[in-house]
Amino acid sequence: MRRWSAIGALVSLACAAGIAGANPQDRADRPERSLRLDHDSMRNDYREDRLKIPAHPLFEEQRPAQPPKAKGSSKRDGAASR
Amino acid sequence: MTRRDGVQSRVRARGAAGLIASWGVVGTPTLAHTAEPSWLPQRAEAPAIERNGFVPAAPTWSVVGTLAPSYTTNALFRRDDRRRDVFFEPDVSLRLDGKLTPDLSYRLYTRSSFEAFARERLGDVAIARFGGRLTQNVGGWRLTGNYENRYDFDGIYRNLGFISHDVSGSVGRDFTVGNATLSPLLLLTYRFSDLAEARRYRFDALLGMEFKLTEKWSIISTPFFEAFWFTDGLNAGRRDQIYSASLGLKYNITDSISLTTSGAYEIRSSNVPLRHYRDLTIGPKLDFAF
Repeated sequence: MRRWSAIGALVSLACAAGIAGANPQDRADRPERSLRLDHDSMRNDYREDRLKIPAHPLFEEQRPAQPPKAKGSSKRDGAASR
Repeated sequence: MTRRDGVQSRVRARGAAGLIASWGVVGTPTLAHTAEPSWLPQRAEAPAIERNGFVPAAPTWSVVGTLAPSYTTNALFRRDDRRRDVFFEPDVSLRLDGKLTPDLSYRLYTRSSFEAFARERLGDVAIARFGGRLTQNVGGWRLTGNYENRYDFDGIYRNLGFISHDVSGSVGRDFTVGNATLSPLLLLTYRFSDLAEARRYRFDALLGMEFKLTEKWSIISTPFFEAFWFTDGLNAGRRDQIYSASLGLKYNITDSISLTTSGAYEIRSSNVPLRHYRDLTIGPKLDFAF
């Protein structure tokens, strides 16, 4: 009998926790919390894309030799892009 | 055949051979099938990508990021009861960049960022993102398609809040006018999510501006307008608009590291009056790339 009472109490607690987690205000608020991170990410991207990636000696050795550039090829070197 | 006819035919043959040899560098598939004179040494046909003069280079790894301690007048984005606080916000990305053609580039990335407040711990939040993008350069305009898988956490990676899949398209370009660089960007995103309240369309119009004062110093500003249309759950029908202006003074410590002190002011209006807010955030930002 005591065992069933304990199980019943645990089930009740679990249901109560579930209800608290499903708080409507909490569900509607949740997407808000990362809004500042999203806005700062946009501003950070703008500044970071203006930085120059330093050359890494190891990667320079691994790159194959480029053929002479053909007429009309892109002036932009490197792989970074926004 | 006369002697003049023979000379003229040899001149025509040499001209044709020279033309064919030059086309072999620039190359078109149709011209590759033109028969060369038999007295030229025979060569193996180069792969199509080499005939066009472009060989994709090895992709480039990089780590870029920003470290930003800041002060805000509205830590929790509330209309009333605005709470002032300081917070620390690191934002770090691992990127793999490469080119498929001279005008088509790709990026694979993983990104981690969080906000840790000194007092308002309810505002602590963290995001982990994994994504990829393709950017096509068309006459100087960058057309980008992006997919991002995103994990929003309550606290600093404590409890997983929800998972999203963001699909977006954008168009942008850089304009240089004297010492000024203007970078307009238009972005449209839809968020798929396991949390119905997070599903929405988002439109951004951003104008990045940089005014070079000297080789090391510049003024930057990134005003933007943002609009949301929520589509599901308890937020269905909700429409928000955010107006943001920012101004900062940037110092280039090196080509790969810069320090910017800036302030940003935001206003949100919404058809849900409770969602209105105003916020001023100021602080230094250390940007790095290696």
